[in-house]
Amino acid sequence: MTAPALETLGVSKRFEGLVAVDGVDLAVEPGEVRGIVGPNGAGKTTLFNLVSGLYAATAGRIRLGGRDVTDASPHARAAARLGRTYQTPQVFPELSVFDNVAVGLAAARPPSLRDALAGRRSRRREALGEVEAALGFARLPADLGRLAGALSFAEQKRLELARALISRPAVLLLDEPAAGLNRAEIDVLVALIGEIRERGTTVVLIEHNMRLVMGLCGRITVLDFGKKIAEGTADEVRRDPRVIAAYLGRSAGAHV
Amino acid sequence: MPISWLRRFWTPAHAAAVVALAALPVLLASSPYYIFLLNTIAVFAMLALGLQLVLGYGGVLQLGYAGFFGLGAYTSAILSTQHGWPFPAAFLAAMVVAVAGAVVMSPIVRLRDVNFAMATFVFGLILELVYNQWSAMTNGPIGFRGIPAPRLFGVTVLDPQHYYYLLFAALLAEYVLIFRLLHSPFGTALRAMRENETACRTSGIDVTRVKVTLLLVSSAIAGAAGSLLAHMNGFISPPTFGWSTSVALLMMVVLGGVRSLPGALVGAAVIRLVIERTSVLGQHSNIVFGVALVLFMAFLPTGLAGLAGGITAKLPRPAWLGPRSVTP
Repeated sequence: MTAPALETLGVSKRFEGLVAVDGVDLAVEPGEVRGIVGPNGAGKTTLFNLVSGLYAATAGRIRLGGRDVTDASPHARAAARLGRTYQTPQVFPELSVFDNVAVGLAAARPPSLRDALAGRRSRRREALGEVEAALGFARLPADLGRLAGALSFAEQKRLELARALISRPAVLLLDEPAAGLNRAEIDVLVALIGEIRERGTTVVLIEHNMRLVMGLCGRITVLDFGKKIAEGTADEVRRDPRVIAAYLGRSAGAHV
Repeated sequence: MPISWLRRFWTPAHAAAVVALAALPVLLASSPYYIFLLNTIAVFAMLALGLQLVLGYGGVLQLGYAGFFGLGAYTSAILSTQHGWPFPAAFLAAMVVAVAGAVVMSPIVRLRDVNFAMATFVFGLILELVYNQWSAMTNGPIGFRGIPAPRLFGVTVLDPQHYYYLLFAALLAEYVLIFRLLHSPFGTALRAMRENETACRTSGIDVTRVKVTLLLVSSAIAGAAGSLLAHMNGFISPPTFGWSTSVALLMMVVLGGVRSLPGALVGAAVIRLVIERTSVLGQHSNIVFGVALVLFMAFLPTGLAGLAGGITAKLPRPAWLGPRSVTP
């Protein structure tokens, strides 16, 4: 049996007076597209921050492909082939499109001073090809010199995705990839995520758009108040009384 | 201007600048004072470029830079006057000691923003104190006299005009090195770090390591500049390496234009000339500088480079220069 691509064991994050993530167990198998849903404030993004290493876990373990990374730094987890995007796209607005995507190469080849001074041109041409391929994959024009800050919101989201994909991550975390996108842009996104899965990348996505989640995710994990309250296929989760209570118990944000 | 890895150094503008700078001392040969001024500007241009790298591009607020300049100058002075080291060895030692100073300072990269800036400023102040107070080592406020002119390949570089070419070679080497660094994956990482550290970290960049590397590289540059200053003037004393010099260097970067290498050179020239002209004001010149710094950041945040860029973008472009876009 192969190890799960991503595994959390009783992972918790306590802020002062608040338990944002409370003993969450998660096992995402290689090749899966897993949905994480839950009302606002359920701890979904906190869970992503724990997995990517931006927060240190208060308790529990985190494994990537069977390797324990609980104490690893964010860049070490990126090197262990974990990629992610953010709810509001985190691009480098004053850098070019090329540079924005090229930053993602650091996960596979950490930039060093010695390489910089050696300045091998062949390496740079190779990088140019990789950046163009990643942009093409993310459905962005190869407008390499353009500043990222000049791109539209939807383009910035795809730029961030290209940066995360250029080093071919084993696991990709997408935080609300459809938020703020129109219907046509969501259709493009759905096709893209399908292709990402076909390339062998395991995808974990947080999403409020239920049409997208139901369409893409084999299994769905539901969080509420930092705890996992349900897990299963779309149909199983939709019928789960605890899920219905979590959503209908509150008036806002009920899309189920 | 967007930068990419594929840019080449030898553009028409760079070639023209190199030729012009090489010809400068010949044009100024009639006045020893102007040659002296030119040499001083060259030393400070080295420093301004180093600070542009760490502070302008990397966004690492190194506010004690003059202290590292001092480490180089004092190392070179002590080794050459008291231990008889030849210039090349003293010069290398100056760089090594300045880097060692940065290694000692490096744990502060864990501090964030204002705290980091304060810590670098205080580190500079401590070094200034050492230069003033540790008389057994540094001669205190008196400093060092009689630092010998450098001997290279059996020739003593005594003539200020010849010394200019030594400085020019060092400056050009530094410029090319920084240009290369900026147009590399490492350069992309450091420029990205200035804009969004979180995104850098989850993209695989070891932000701490990049910052420490920047501090070390910029300190090596400051050490080299310090050594060249000491052997040029034959005399050094603490005020040259104090906080007011750190402020002047910051002014050079801001005035010239943050994230512009030519801007740093122009900023160094302008500020050095202003210092020469306002030295009659004595201590009050610091007030003038402070006010000027605030005004510049308020009204011309992109500096002279931004101003020049804005003007040239409006001018018709001669055909032989080719299309304006050079990216990537």
